Amino acid sequence: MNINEHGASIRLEGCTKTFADGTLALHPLDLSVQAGETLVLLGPSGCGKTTTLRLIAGLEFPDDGGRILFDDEDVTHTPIEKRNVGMVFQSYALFPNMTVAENVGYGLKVQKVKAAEVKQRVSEMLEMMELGALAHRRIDQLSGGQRQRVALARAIITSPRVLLLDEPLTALDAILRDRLRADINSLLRRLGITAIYVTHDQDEAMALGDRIVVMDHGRVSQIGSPKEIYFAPQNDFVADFIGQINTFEGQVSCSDMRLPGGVLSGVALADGQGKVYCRPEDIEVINSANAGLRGQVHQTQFIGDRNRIWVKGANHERVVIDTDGRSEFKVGQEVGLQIRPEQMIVLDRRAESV
Amino acid sequence: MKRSLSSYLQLAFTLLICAFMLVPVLMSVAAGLTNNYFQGLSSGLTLRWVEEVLALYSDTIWLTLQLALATLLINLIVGVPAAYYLASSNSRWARVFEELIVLPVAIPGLAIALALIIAYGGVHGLRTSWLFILIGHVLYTLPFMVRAVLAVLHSINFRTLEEGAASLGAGFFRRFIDVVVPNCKGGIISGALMTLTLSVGEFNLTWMLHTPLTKTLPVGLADAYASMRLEISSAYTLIFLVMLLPLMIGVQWSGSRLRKPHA
Amino acid sequence: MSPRLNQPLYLMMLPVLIITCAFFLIPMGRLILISISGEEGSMTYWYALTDSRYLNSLLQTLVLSIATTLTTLAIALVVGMFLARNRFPGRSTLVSLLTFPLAFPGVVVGFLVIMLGGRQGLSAELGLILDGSRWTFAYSIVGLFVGYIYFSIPRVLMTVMSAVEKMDVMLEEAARSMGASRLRVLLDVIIPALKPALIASGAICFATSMGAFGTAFALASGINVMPMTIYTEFTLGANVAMAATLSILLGLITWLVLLLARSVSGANTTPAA
Ligand SMILES: Nc1ncnc2c1ncn2[C@@H]1O[C@H](COP(=O)(O)OP(=O)(O)O)[C@@H](O)[C@H]1O
Ligand SMILES: [Mg+2]
Repeated sequence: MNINEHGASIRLEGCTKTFADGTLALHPLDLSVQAGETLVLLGPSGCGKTTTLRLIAGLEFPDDGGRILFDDEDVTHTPIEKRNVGMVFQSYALFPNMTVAENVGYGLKVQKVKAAEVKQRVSEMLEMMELGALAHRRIDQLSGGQRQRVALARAIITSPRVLLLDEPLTALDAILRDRLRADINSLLRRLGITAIYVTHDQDEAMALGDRIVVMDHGRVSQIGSPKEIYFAPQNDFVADFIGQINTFEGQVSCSDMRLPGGVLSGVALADGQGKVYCRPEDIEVINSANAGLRGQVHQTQFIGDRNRIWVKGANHERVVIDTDGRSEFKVGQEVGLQIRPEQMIVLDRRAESV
Repeated sequence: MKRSLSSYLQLAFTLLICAFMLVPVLMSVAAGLTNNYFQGLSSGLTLRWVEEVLALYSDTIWLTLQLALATLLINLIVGVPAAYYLASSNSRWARVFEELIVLPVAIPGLAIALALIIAYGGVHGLRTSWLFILIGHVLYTLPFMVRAVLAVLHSINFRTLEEGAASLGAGFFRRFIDVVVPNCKGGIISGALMTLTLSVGEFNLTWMLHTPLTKTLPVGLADAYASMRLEISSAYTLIFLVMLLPLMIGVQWSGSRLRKPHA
Repeated sequence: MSPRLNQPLYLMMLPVLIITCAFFLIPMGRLILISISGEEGSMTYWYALTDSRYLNSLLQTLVLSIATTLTTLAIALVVGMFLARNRFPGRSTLVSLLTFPLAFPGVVVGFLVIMLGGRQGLSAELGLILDGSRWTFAYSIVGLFVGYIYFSIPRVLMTVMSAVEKMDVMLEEAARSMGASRLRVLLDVIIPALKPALIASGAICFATSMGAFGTAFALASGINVMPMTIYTEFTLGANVAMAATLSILLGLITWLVLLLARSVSGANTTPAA
């Protein structure tokens, strides 16, 4: 296929967006995406992901002062039809008055590519996306997953400089979503195209992104690789939003934090009031007899590969712990908790250096 | 937000069309309230023409109201149950009936009026009675009533509601009155407003069906246009518009209410 | 629903059936019988379609109705798209102004056309100022055309606006993302998406124009549209058979057009408010 090796790099400089009704959807936003990179915009509904994507697409324009660059070309005021971007919408936005093949070939037709070549390229694309047999179907005769693939094919056939995807899997059921996620992942790697992928689903973000931008109320909360975001959240919002996490808060003295169920030791915080986070899989359940921190099992849930238990009494709130699936716990059982210092997440950088 | 040149052009065109709809109405209102239209507003404002119209034509106003209310009454009694039948029956007959009810809208009023005159014009007393016009108005407005109620019935799950009521022991007519009718109130109201509006303004049928003793407002208007001075015609039109205004406001209000989900 | 729940259901329909049979089906049947009761028998239909007087009237009405329909659709498309897509102060007032005349009967519309283009109308005053002669158009076919557009705009506009509101804006954005110009978006996306609504409201507009009587009556312009011809045959010519024949032809045409439109667009083509 004739597809750009890398696509364009993208830079947003000081892009603020205020809507006509006065809604401030984006605070000044700076963002740079490398050529060929897949960047995921992640955040709760209403945090400004779609707005950011539409700015990059050219469907909205930033307030005065903001700049958008593709490679080094300033496209701030270029409308979408001149930007050469590919878009995949949450609802797919396939043209109901055209067949699958006509939908996929539409971008080429608009570019006045010769009919014979359009036909050739469309059939190649349909083969690649395993849609060959459906070429002459109408859109309403396709399943959700097939529509999704048609939408992708339609967006990439013109070799756009940037591929923009707005929650492309949200409308599908869970099983289909997992499969298509893998398909999209391998497609993006294979094409090496610059892609911006919007989602509110953190699993999707982890699986697809080279880097993830976590957004909150129109601001960037953290940018980093999936691992950085997961293991080294930089603020409370990211720590809370990504995955399950436990928060321990209490008085610290000599690296010991005083908690309702005893003492959490090895806390890398200065003396005084402090806070650390810990993932459920990083807490170890030990015999209560010689443990510094104790509690009672409140509830257990078997999830197959693991046992999730909730322990009360140890912390101000219930502690969530993931243990081996074969372990056995009874409700009411007395347990001890242990966390290795390197698995505690400490946000306050100044305290860490102590 | 920046607006493009083309959206300004569209705005200008929209305003032009609005002017086209509004200007003649305003001119007519002005003509009905001025002493002498040919001298313009400088001849002074007056209610003289309106009074003259009321003296000459007040019977047409009363007959129009009477017809509209009678049409509405019949439509309510007859149309709402019919809509319910059409919504709950799956039989092929129901579809045929639906076509049949709607057919009078597709046929020009003049043709229907002619058919009515040919069939019943000779019946003693009917031809000269206002009931003859009533028949025409019911035929013409009933489809709108049925459609409005049907649309609401299709959008709510009235069968489940009704089954719920049945499980509590409510009989057929109880269920219809207690469950079905209250839940399609929106459709009934908008159908009722439509019925009144259409009946008040009906001319095609009414012109053929009327007699000198049974003149409705639009018929009177046609008379006035043909034989009266412009100011009287205008004042008469003004009275008609004033009658229509609350109905049209009601139609728009009920339309916007219905468009909102689950109104 | 169980059959027992259904029992008195037919009773609900009965009154409407009686009314429709007694006052619509039977009279229509009588109308057909009368139409072939004249000297020519059923040849009357052939006569109506070949006699130049009737044929001219029919053709004139057809041309007028088609022109009205196309013009109204174009106006409603531009205005409807604009009003449905833009939010600005005064918008709902404009919508009300444009839909208020929905309830005006044809005679009133005829009178309003006289206000605009009659001997003492707006355009006459304008002409006096500009070149010293009274410009009038109310009593020609132009007057009829203007009047027909006047009463068609509200109906068509309401249908088009609600169709535009239901249209998926993302379809347009998708087309633009692939580089489509405004014109292409209009032709490839917007018009196809609005097609059912345009066909449905166009058919209603056509049917209403074919049967419109009041406007021609009020303008008394000597242009014999079909309803005028029928009226003249019936009252002045006392030719009941021909009036019936022409009525049935007219009814058949409008009904077929509505039927055709419904089968093409799949949409509901009952005149709606
Ligand atoms: N066209 C618009 N006009 C006004 N406010 C808008 C518009 N589009 C989005 N918003 C507001 O901007 C904020 C961000 O929206 P969006 O970018 O769609 O969020 P997300 O995609 O992250 O869910 C929300 O508060 C939303 O209500
Ligand atoms: Mg969004």
